[in-house]
Amino acid sequence: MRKRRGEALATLIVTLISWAALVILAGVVGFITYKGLGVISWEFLTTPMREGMKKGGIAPAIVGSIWVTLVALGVGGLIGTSAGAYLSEFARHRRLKQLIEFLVTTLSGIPSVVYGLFGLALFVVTLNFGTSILAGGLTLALLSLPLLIRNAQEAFSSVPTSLKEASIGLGASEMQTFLRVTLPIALPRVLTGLVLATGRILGETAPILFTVAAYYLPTYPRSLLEPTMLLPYHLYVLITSGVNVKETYPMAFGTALTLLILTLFFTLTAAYLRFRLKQKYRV
Amino acid sequence: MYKVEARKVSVWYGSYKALDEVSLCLERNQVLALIGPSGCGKSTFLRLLNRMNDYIEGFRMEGQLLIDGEDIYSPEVDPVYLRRRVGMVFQKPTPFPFSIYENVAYGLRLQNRLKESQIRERVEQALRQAALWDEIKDNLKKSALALSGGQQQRLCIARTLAVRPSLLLMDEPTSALDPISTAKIEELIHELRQTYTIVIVTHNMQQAARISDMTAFFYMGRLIEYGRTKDFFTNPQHPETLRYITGRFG
Repeated sequence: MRKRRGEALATLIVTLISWAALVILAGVVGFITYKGLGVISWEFLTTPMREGMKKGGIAPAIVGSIWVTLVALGVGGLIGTSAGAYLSEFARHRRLKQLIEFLVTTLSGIPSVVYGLFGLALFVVTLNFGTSILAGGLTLALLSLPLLIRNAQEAFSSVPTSLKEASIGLGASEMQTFLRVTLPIALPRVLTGLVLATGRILGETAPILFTVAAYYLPTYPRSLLEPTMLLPYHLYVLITSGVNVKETYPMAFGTALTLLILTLFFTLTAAYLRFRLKQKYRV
Repeated sequence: MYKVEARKVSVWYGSYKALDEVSLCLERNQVLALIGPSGCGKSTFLRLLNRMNDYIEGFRMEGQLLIDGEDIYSPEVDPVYLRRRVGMVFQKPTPFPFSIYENVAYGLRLQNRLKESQIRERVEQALRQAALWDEIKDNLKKSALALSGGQQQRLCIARTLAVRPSLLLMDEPTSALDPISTAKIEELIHELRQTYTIVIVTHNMQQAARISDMTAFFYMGRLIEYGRTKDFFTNPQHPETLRYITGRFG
């Protein structure tokens, strides 16, 4: 009897703690929504900032964030998926493979501000891209590579060996097997990794500081070689270093909520894609 | 010329010797059953024939293995093309998560030479050969995963036949199936021997006796006995063979 009671107590504690986590999460989202919802309007989302960021909207920062994220996802997704494919399907030297895996794990532990400095040195200065969407996007691509590589590798490894062997047995080359069997089946999981990366890329502040972010630039970027405003950095500016912080403070919550909604939008889009693909390949 | 000829074939996985100087010859349009206890080397031998062992780390092979008189381990042979001539059916059904049609068309699409109308023709032909056509002809677009286990295995056979190999390898193709499905596949093997040479690994001695012309008994990496199935089960030459086929070990 006593044992039973102990178990019930333990279950209760675990349940309470997990509910507490949910409550805290809901609290954060609720608080941001409560403070930000009043700020968000059509004008806020679609027009540039005016009067020292006290009035107007945040549209350039939204557009800038989307551009940088697309560059980062495009480049990072391509390289990360290829590297994951190599590690999972094509690497023959076990030692070399272990070395690469070790390096990838190490890379994921580097603070993001260090990536920012590296991006400044390599993309902005050495490759002469200047402070630009391209430089910022590439820096964020580097930052998200460990996550993307690991995820892609696991996605490809999770495709049953029996299917890969069946394909090889039918006279497919290794590349044909990868493109026609492994990749389509692993695609939902690869997409999941891209979504996780999107969340991280959208919210990162440190790596964009020296590589792309503009303090105040209320226009829309016309090429990848221009700097732009971005949501996370704009948020930081509104709270800490605007012309009149007191008056720009409410705008910060609107910006934060926009960032949340944007992340949610990416997540839901990918979830939908994943759902469709899973229906197509029921594995 | 023999369809398959092994000349003192030995195989190592790292330092482990999996096959020890195996030699045998197989005539065209015959069914060869490979039997023996687990780990005896029969599957290793089977997978040598379409070079599926190439991918195993530490794999090394000595001796000569000839198919249609050609040494398939010579440097000029591309294993990808070899596998189009030597088809394989695995132990568990392994349909791709595509439609029934696309499963059978898979091997044909790899070769990039056929028109869609030709592919359709060969898909139907392969499904008929595998005795599956009548059951699924109205559902070609349905997912292959919706088929029963026995149907899936016949689909995998159809998929292999569609590529038109001349040698067919089967690795315990009925071990995951119920008796009715097993009977259908055995019947199928009986039909296919008109056109194909078949090498089949089986754990089931009755099955070997029913479907094969030749039987090879492997034990601890060596080919202990090889001969006509008729003689093999009625008059085995080696005491180990007798002990195995009478169920005293393995």
